[in-house]
Formats: sequence, C-alpha cells, structure tokens
Amino acid sequence: MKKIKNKQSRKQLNSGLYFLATVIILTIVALLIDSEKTVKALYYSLKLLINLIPIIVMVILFIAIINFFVDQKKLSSYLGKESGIKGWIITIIAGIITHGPIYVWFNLLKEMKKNGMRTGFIAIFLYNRAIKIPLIPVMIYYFGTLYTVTLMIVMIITSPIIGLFVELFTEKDSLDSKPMSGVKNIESS
Amino acid sequence: MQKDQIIRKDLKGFILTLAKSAKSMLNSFPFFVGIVILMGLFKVFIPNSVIYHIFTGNAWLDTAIGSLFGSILAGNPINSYIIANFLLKDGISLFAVTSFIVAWVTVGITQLPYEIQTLGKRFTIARNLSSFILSMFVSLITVVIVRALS
Repeated sequence: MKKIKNKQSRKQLNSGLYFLATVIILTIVALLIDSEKTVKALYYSLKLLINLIPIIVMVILFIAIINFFVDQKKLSSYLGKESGIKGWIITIIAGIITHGPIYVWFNLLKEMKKNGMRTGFIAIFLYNRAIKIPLIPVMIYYFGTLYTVTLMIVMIITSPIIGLFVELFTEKDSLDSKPMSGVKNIESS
Repeated sequence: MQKDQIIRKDLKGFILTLAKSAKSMLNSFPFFVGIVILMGLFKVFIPNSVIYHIFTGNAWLDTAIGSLFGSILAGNPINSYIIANFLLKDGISLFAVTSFIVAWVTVGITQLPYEIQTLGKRFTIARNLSSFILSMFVSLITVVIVRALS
C-alpha cells in the first residue's frame, strides 16, 4: 500500500516537472520573441506565487485536519452518496466561503474524494468557488446590484447541473470510480 | 500523567499527518509554478485590446466567443470585470459579457494538466466542458431576468 502511494506521489511529481519543463521552454521562446514583455510576465508570476504561499499553507493544514480528525464514515455521511440535500447545501456553501485560486484546492479535494466525497460534490464545490464574496462590491460597482445578485443566484441554482453531469460522465471511468468504490466499502461495513 | 501521554501521542500523530500533507502539496509545487508562469505570460502577451477586437457584434456568436475567451484567460476575476466593463461600453452585448465573466472563473485551461493529474481525466473534461456550456446558459438566464426586472 505504501509502495503504491509512493509510486503515485512520484508519478505526480514527475508529471509536474514535465509540465514545468514545458512551460519553461515556452518562456524561453517568449524571451527570444520579446524579452521585455517576458520579464514583465515573470515579475507578475512571482508576485502571484508569493501571494499563493499563505493559501497553500492553509490548504496543507486543512488536509491534515481532515485526515487526522475527521472520521471517514462521518465525512461520507455529510458528503457521500447518502448525504442527500444536506450534502448539496454544505458543498455549495463551502465553495462560496473558501478563497484562493481554484487549483490550490485540488489536492484537498483529492484527499476528500479518497475519504468518500461524491465526485459531483467536488465539481459543485469548484463551480461555486466562482462566487467570491469579497469581490461582490466590485462587481456591483461595475454592473449594478440587480445584475450581480441575479448572476450569483443563477450560478448557485444551476451549479448542481455540473455535479450531475460530472457524475454521469465519470461513472464509467474505472480510475475515477476507484475512490467511490471505497465509499461503497465504508457504507457496507 | 496518562492524559499527558495521550496528548503527546496525538500531537505526534498530527505533526506526522501535517508532514504528509505538506509533502503531497510539495509534489504539486511544480504544477503551481507552471500555472502561475503561464498566467503571467497570458496576461502580458494577450492584452485587453486584443480581446476587444475579437467580438463581432452578433449577440449569439459573441456569447460563444465570450465563453471561449473567458475559458482561456485566467487570473484575478477583477480583471474580467474591468475587461467586461470596457466591452459593454464598446457596445458588446450583455449576453457575451456575462458568458465571458462566468467562463473566466469556472473554466480553467491553464490548470488542465494539474486538474487531470489530481482529479482524473474524465472528471476534468466533464467539469470544464459542462462549465463552458453552462456559462452560456447562465448568461442567457441572467440577462433575461435582469431585463425583465429592470
């Protein structure tokens, strides 16, 4: 089991390094085309990366808390197949109140999926990350209250469609369904 | 004394779990750096002025174009509001502007490789594809309601 985990984490690290290498090659090409613009882009990226650090630390802490304190069965009852309407509401609220870039949350969601979270809920959580409470005043300033409130409500109401579609599409995937089969084991035990 | 030992054991266990979580996030760090560099390149090499010229004036076609460009571009949502505000002032339809704003925050082309790696290929395709399509429907519903109410 430990060997499989190590293999998976090495695979993830390798894929990340390949991706980074591709991006570096792209950056070198961009440097050759327009060095001034590329340096500007890299400076922007560095600032973005520095801003990411506190959020990454927070997510590490979240993952540790969930893995250490939260009981798999309990998590499954809140966010698993049997959670019902409660699960939908929790996921939507969690998506709205959390902050930071969407990709920082992928690792945490992967862990939660292993612990029995529904695939559809992961999609709903990510979709509702689009509703950013601190940015609502900015949106109201640009587009008005009626437009902003309507857009937010429409997005919240339509978000379960994403969850249902994703579950429908991923059910046939053996890789994606592996963690879900884990949920079935928990449920049956 | 026994209670003290239990607390120490729990603390040790939590620190170990924390270290494991940190290790799993560190494995993702090359992805984070790559995504952030890509975002910087997109921001600088695709200036707002390019986006303004892409829209055609046809509301339906512009809605699809809005979703497409919202999906490709990434970064702080405030940037999408600023661009969208300029687009509106330029006479681009509210349908197109809304689909642009929604796709900007719900579809992520730059982070696709990392999403595939962590959450699976089928999940990533399904989530991004459905979010892309839904951005146009959300735009349609929102604009119809806003026009009816205002």
